[in-house]
Amino acid sequence: MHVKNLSIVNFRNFSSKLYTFEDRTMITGVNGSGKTSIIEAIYYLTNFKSFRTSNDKKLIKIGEDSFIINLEGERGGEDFVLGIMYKDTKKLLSINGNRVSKLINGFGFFVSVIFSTYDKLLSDRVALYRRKFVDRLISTIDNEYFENLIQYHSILKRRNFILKEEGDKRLLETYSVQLSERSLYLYERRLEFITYFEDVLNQLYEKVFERKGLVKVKYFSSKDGGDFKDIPLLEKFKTNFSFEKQKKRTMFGPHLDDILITVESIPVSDFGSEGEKTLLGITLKIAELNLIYENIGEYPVVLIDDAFSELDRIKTNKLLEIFESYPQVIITFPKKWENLENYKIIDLDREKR
Amino acid sequence: MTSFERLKKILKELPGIGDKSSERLIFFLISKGKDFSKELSESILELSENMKVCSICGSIDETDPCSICSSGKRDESILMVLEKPRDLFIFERTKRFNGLYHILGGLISPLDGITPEKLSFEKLLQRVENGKIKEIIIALSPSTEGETTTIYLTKLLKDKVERITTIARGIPFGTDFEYIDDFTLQCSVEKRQNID
Repeated sequence: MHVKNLSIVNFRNFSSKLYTFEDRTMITGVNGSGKTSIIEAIYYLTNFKSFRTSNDKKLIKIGEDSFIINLEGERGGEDFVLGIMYKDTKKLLSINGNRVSKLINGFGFFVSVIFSTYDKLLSDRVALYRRKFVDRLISTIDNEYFENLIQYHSILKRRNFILKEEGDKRLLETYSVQLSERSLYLYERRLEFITYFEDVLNQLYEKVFERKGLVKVKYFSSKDGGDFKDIPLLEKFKTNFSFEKQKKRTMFGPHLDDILITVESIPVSDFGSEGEKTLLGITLKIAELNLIYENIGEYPVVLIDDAFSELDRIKTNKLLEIFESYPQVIITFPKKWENLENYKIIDLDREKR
Repeated sequence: MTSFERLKKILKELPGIGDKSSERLIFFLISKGKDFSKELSESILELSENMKVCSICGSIDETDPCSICSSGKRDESILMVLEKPRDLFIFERTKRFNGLYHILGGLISPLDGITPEKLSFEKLLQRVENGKIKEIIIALSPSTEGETTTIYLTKLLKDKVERITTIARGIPFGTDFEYIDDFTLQCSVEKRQNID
């Protein structure tokens, strides 16, 4: 997977721009020069969403009513052009000039992985970011998981509504059955994933710290109050009917589960140093890169946006060494990072918009 | 509002008709002349005057009870549950089903205000309790709401009828595997049949 050219129109602060990328590209410029916007535009064609905002309107240049991103690249040895236009809350996607009627059919066509300051959130106390990360990751490589997840959340919404409104008990039981059925595949895939993840994390930590077996990853199941047990979600709903009725929402299931990661027996959520949190976030993302490669047989484009700002020089250089093995890396730095001699430089300070 | 605009406005309320289609239809009507328009408007009026909702099954026909419920030639031991009257027309077209029907009038969707009380479940229960029904076929759309309604019905009818079935989900005739989505394909393997 490669990005060759990127053209953006009315995107963030840019009116109209074309950028060309090599296997190694460094984008430099002072704060506010638009480094992140370029990375954001590339990543937009992976997820059809920004990694910074959920409000697409904010991406349109002030005073305009639409934006366009066109990306020329290479995938599986073949050239492609992927384009998206956002206007009137609609996203129109085209692949090689042909309109793609449903956005979902474009998922997985161009795959990139972004490393940013947001990765730190993966070691947050709140499980939400980790759960979203895992769900997004498994969804990228497994359509069936994605399908089950969407259905799970749509049924969950209805079940919560019935619990809140104290509706029909038979209908509540119906939703319990449907939710329990959808949860089976979610559990199965997540548990598989946890085992795989522990391996990958350990390999990476070994490279950075030169020590083995530091990381343990465990699944926290809200259904079982700890380790996952092979008991259907439906049973839990049956035995806890009055509890859920009192709470007025669904209290057990994959939507409340967490992934517990410990490094040297310390839970990551208790990490004191921002640097350590950042490092774990980055390591999780590298695991994502490798997982995608194993599943689609091609490395995603690596996008790095100011992700190392809280790491010391030694760790930054070690990580950059790891990234050397990936086919394409696009990285932003406020100033040129002197160790990266083989990088093409896009200097935004020198450009006039 | 001119008569052109008035007709355009009303035509646009029809399913699948937008600005362009309604204009095309109006110009077609103008070109066909007065007699055609008279025939068309009279037949629409006649339809709305003659159509009745069947008090037994909830379908639409010119008589109440409908021609199927009052036929006497249908197999009264088997009943197919459907979402809407149009579905009945589609199943009848196959001419292969000789049982009776029951129209629910929608699918359960509490977020849209469609709770079980708003659908024709009570009437269905009465039919099951009074009648000779041995098997109920639930033939609802393969959506999440369709599945909810099917499970709900199964719970409701449990122990009240000998057999409850749903229609098969799988690969349509004459289609290439290439064009089948993963879920349907997976379903067709799970619901595979013996070849005797």
